Amino acid sequence: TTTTTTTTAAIGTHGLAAETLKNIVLAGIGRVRVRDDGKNASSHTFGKDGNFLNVASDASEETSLAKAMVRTLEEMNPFATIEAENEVNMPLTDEEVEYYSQFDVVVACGFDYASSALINAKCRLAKCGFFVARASATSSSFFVDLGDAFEYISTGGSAAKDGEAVAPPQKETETFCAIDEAVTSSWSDIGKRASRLPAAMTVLWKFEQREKRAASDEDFERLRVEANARAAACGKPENFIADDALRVLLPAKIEIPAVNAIGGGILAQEVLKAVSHKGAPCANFFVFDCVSGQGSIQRLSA
Amino acid sequence: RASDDSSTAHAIVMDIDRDVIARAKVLMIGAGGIGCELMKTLACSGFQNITAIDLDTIDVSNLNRQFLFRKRHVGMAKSIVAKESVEKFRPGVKIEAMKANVKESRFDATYFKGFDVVLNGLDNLEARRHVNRLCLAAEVALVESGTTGYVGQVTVHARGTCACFECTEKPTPKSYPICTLRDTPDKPVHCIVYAKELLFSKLFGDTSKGSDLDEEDAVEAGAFRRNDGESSHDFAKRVFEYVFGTKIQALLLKDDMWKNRTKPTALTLAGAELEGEFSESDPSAKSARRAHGLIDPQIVWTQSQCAKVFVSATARLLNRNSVLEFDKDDDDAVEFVTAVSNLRSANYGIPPQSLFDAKGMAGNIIHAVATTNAIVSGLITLEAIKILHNKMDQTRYTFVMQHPSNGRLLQPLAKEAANPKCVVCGNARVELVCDTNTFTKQDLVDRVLKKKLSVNEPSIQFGATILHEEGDGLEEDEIEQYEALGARALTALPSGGVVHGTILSISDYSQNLDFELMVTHREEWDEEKEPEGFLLRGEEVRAKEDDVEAENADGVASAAAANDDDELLIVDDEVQLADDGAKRKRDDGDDKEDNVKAQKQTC
Repeated sequence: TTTTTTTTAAIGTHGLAAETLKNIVLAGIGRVRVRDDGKNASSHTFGKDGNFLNVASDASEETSLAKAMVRTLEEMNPFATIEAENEVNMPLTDEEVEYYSQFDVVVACGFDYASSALINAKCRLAKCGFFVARASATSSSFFVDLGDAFEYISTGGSAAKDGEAVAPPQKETETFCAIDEAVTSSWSDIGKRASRLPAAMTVLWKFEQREKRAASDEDFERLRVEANARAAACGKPENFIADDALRVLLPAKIEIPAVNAIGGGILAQEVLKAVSHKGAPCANFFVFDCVSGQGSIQRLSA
Repeated sequence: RASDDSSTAHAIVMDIDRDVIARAKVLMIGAGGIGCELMKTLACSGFQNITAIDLDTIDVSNLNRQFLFRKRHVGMAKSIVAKESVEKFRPGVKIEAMKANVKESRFDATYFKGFDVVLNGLDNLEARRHVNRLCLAAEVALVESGTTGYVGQVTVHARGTCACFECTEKPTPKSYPICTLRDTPDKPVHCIVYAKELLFSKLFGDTSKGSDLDEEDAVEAGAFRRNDGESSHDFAKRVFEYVFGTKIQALLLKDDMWKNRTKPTALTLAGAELEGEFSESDPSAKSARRAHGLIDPQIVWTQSQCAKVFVSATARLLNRNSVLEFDKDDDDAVEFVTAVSNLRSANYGIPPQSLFDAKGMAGNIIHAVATTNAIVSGLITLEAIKILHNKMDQTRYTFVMQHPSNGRLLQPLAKEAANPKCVVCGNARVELVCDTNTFTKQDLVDRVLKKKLSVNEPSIQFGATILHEEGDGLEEDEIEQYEALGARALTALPSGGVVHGTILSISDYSQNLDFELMVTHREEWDEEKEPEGFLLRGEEVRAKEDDVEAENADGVASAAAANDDDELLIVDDEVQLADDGAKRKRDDGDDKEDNVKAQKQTC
């Protein structure tokens, strides 16, 4: 099957990465490389961080977090090739395009804007899919770029009415853009009943792009101003993005395992679609927040 | 952080008190697909006191999604292995793991009262109902859940504040575990799925792929391997002998399997009139059944006819010399499935079906998906956290969709209000329509009360007369008395008998359940339209004609290279997630009610 020769690289060691890895490995993905730029030792975070792949080993030797996770993943699917990236001598952003072309899909967990944009650009050049996933205490989100012409086979559509024949699967193409384009996107196409959280996410990404650091509670007012300005620029009302929508996305020092389970589930499904080319991929933002309880997709491109 | 007034939502929901979580006593029922994910999420979330009950042991088919289990654990208890695996990444957690059936009498209302919240990860409707009733009796909040393929839902129930699990009838999706299909079927649809998914694929599908029929004894016997020079008819006869004969005999040796089940009967070539030279009355006919002069699709074939159609269909399909996929428009394929299903039904004492009905039943198939269980586990945990912080008003239902609706893959909905006419938590009456001159008390107890209404230990009272009781406290002679009444028709029961218009009081102490059952007499019964010979109606009809078990979807996403198809799913054309989207308030402030319910699931 199509997954047997693909590779993904998961970077980052948050619970979200663990969930995503667990899901794609169980589903039978062919090859996975786990990379931890932080070069953490497994003992450092064992039992504390919600990374359930970091399991007590019978051997007493100290091992890297990535290796510990790989060890657990290997047991879950002995047929897959699961590797820990050993030669982490430089951050992922410094790796050559050639490095990226080993993979069909790169999944970056927890990277800041600048790094994400760089990785996204290299993925485009290497022609591999790009996902960047983030988590806050109350939300889980990701952005995806599968290139300008991602082909896939649709597997039936949304609800068909009684008596209507369901369309047979057919070949379709989806277009994506890079994250730098997405964060300055217009909001005019956002439907009346659509969630505004993805748009709010772009406000936070834009803040990071400009300020070169993540937003925090203290930056709320500035985010509010930015959101209003963006809304006005596309003819939307000033409070198009509610206060709560901005707050729930603010990065937090802790992750909530329950939110990771949800975000990691959706993210894994999308990664599997990206490698198998079966099923309509979500384009291009997904956000779940536990306050509203919604998990929504929204296309945001220039 | 949350000191700012305007960050209300942030503060309310995520002001998690770690002590509350650590002290909470949680009962989770089910340590399978949802259960593994849930135990992991609870442990990572800081829960310290978890009790897990599951009656099952680990099967090799579980391994590629119930991620706490490994090959070396096959045969061991799910709850216990799950606990051990979780302790490996969360050493401080305290989990009491029990291999037990939640319907055991020791898990009574008092037991349930010992917990702060109950979380269900069950795979059958009967157990869900039982737990629902106990939670109501114990007044403990219950978080219910279920998954089917990419679809799932999490709901919250609490006595007095909102609907219980049984307040409204929910059509349930149908799915079947592999062991039921392969060894212990008890419904026609199990046989259909066996024929279509297991045997058809094994004989005509991609033979290089692994199959659930590749058991040791089958492989040794070469049962599915065609010998050099063997004619397709001879090979088919050998398959017949194995599938409907030898294999059944081997299963009969497993005493444990038949403790609570009717034993199957092996078929023989002789019994099916397949001995000697095989021939068709019309070899040039368009399809297998026509070759034996069987035309009318509504007629149910005899065992011998099924056997002949089986051999002919098998030969025809083999002679095409290519890898085949089941196609319901392929007559030979459908006839193959009908024949196999009926022969299997003959093995297991299940009523056979006509070609027409069998074809209808061979509907859409969806492979189950592991990620849905993970997502649902997160949603369950979030609801549990809210309940433990006394934020019942913030709990909700959440539905996980396969295809986005209004861009949403996760759709929140407000909880339903309690139904005052609910049989379980409100006041209600159920009506039984049957022929009171032939319907026996045992029929009432087994087929109606236990099977359709999931009553555990029913007692039936009629005025001052007790017609039936069950439970530990009964004397020998009382048990005998009730048994003796079992064979009697309703009208022949004591105190004038149960006749048209009689109202019986049904109760169950173990489920704290009480309701009235009114009997309506009717003599005319259409065997085809109403094969069961009775109807159940109520304020809320809880049982449809072919109420089947809702099994938890436990399977691997279709991308798997290894071990595909280990747990199979048949889903209705329309899986209704919300019983009536128009009545329920959407929790997301949308302008207009939207139709979230109907989803066509297709191959």
